[in-house]
Amino acid sequence: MRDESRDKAADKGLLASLRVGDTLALEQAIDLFGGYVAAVIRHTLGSQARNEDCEELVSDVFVALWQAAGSLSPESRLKPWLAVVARNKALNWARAQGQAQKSAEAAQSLVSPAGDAGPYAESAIERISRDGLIIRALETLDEESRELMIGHYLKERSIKELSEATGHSQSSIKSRLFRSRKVVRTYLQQEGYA
Amino acid sequence: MMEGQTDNTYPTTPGATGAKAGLEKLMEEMKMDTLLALEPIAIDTEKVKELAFRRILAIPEDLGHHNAPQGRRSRPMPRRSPTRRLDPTRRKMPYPRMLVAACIVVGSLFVGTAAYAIGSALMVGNNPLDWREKSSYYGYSVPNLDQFNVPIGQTLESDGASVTLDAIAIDDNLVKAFLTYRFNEPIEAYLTEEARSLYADRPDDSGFRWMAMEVVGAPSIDLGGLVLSPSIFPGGQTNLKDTDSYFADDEYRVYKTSVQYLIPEMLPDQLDVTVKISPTEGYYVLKPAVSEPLTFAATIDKGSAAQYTVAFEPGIYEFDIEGVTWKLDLKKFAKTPFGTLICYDTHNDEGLVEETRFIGRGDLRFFDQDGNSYHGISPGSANSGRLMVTFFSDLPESATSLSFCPPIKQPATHDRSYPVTDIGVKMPVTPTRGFYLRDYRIEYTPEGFVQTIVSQPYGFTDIKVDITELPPEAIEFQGTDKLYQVSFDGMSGDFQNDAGDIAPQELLGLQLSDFDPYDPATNLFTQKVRYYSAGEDTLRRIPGIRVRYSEWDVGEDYRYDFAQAKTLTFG
Repeated sequence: MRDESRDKAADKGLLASLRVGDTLALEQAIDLFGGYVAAVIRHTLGSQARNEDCEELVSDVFVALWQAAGSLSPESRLKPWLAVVARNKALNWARAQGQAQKSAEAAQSLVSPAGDAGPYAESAIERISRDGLIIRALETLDEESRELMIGHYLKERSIKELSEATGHSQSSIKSRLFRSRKVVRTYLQQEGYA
Repeated sequence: MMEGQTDNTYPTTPGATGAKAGLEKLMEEMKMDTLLALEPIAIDTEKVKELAFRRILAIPEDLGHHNAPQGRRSRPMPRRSPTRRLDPTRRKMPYPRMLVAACIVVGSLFVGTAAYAIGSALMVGNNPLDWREKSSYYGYSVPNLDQFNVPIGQTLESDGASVTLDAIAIDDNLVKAFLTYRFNEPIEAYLTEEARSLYADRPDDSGFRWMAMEVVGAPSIDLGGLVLSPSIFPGGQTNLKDTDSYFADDEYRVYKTSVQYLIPEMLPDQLDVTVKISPTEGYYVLKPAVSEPLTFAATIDKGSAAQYTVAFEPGIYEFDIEGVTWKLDLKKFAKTPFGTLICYDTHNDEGLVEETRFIGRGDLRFFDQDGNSYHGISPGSANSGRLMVTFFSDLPESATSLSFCPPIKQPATHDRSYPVTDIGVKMPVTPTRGFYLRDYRIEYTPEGFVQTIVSQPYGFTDIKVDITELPPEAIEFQGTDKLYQVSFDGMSGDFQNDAGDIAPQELLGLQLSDFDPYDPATNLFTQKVRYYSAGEDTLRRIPGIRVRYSEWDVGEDYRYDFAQAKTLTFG
């Protein structure tokens, strides 16, 4: 919790500095998150990108951060934002390299069944649904966690609504959902989804 | 069962209301979980910064054309209006008069007697924001200068030491004298106990070098009537760096050092050269090593010595700073094997400088042909008046040109806080300068706790001016969800305020602060604050401590006006 609040405050300070054109804040962001952004890009692209490409993509991500800082919410968390942008930059780069299909597979490999060459968005969900995997995965959870997962993901209830309904704090709800996702992910992996 | 939930059934068929979207969301968040769990990998962050800043700062091609290596995509650098600021809103800010010199308040850092170190403060680097380790001029320049040195080998005796003028290196632009002191006793014997304790904790042998500098002082050089001295312009001494020197023995008796001066005018080849060492005295000197003036005299044929500097034609360069012409009279610009020196006259009075928002003497920004930036300083007496000598030590061999452009000052107030637990984290105070946290420790003692913070500054042009006071009130104790903001009344000595579960009086009953001055050998400030009331149990309840770094008033933000850059090409 302490690290969380500290990171949040640090993000807020960095964003505030970036918004006023503080170049050193960008340097600090690169110092803090450069290695992480590189990890996301490497995770997304695998070995198809050289180190030089990786470095350029990392720089692209931080240029994007610089350009977007003014429009980001002051409460935005940098790491998730950078993760998404890094992944998208990597995918765009891969597409530009004419390897869209391959990169898409690599990028979406988290829950894609091994050998599934179809687009992830359809095939994975369809297969998970068709095979009832999601049901079995959810059934491995305790009752309260399962109800939270169903409420949030399948019945589209917001964190706030769930918080009000259960009496738990919103951060507690988020934590429970995070842990539940981990359980579900592990189950799906055991069932053949890489 | 959750309140408001009517059953425990759930849609499982894609296409059912919300189901597919929900599954997609779940999958996406699981992917994010994976991404967020990734561990950072090693990356060349400096290269990333360079790539990013070339785009963001729109460095003109003639200042930083990026030649992409073969097989690597080349990045076009976008051009934009040179008058455009990174943040357009800043232009609208009212410009406050400079009320005081730059003042930085850095929590948990005390500078105090750093003044002596100021003369040696030197900022150089491939990044204008970097503060780099300096090189040892004596040590590394001797091999490079062997072919240029005129051996002298004269030795003179004094009460406490014998001094040998080993050699003089001289050409049209620079003179450098190499000296060896052989003290009769270890260097500590010449200094007061206070000085010995002051330097005792320095790393390596830098403390001994600082002691020697106290004892030795800076020699002056007379070139046929042209006196070059630390106290007289022109010239610009660079002797007051402990890294200019070293001890050649383990007993700290044999001390080698050097002094150098720019030569501001053309001199005849045949020169009577005098190197004068004045008696050593000073607050920390217990007994002088040199009690009477020592004067070395030699006649040198400058014409027969190899030219070891690359000089540039003097000239007057003009910049338009918001409608006002600002002149830079380049007196001397010499690239040498051990550094590059520039001597110039701003030709502007202080009022004009202030009104035009020019940041002032000594703050030009220098770039080589690759866009690498160099920021040097040679403060001290050479800064007096309008003339300025700046010294760079690590201009690389690959540099074929040097461009300079004026930074435009902008008003700013900065106040930032950083946790002090992340060693190595950069803590900007302004967009151009701040500190790296190099060490942070809390020690528990029977009396209370002792906090030590070691920071490394970057981006400062003149520490003596910039950091005038470093009070303790900026320390913040981070509670569970609130900060313990401790304020300190300098008049009454009372600590005041705060919020949280732990009363401040539990923390701070008595405060004593020890501080080392800035150490140029390591580029570090070290501050130790002793809080003699809080015990370990109390402190354990505080989840974090952080330091507030703030700066105000003087408009230390600035941008570079690349459009007006002037370029000097090396011969």
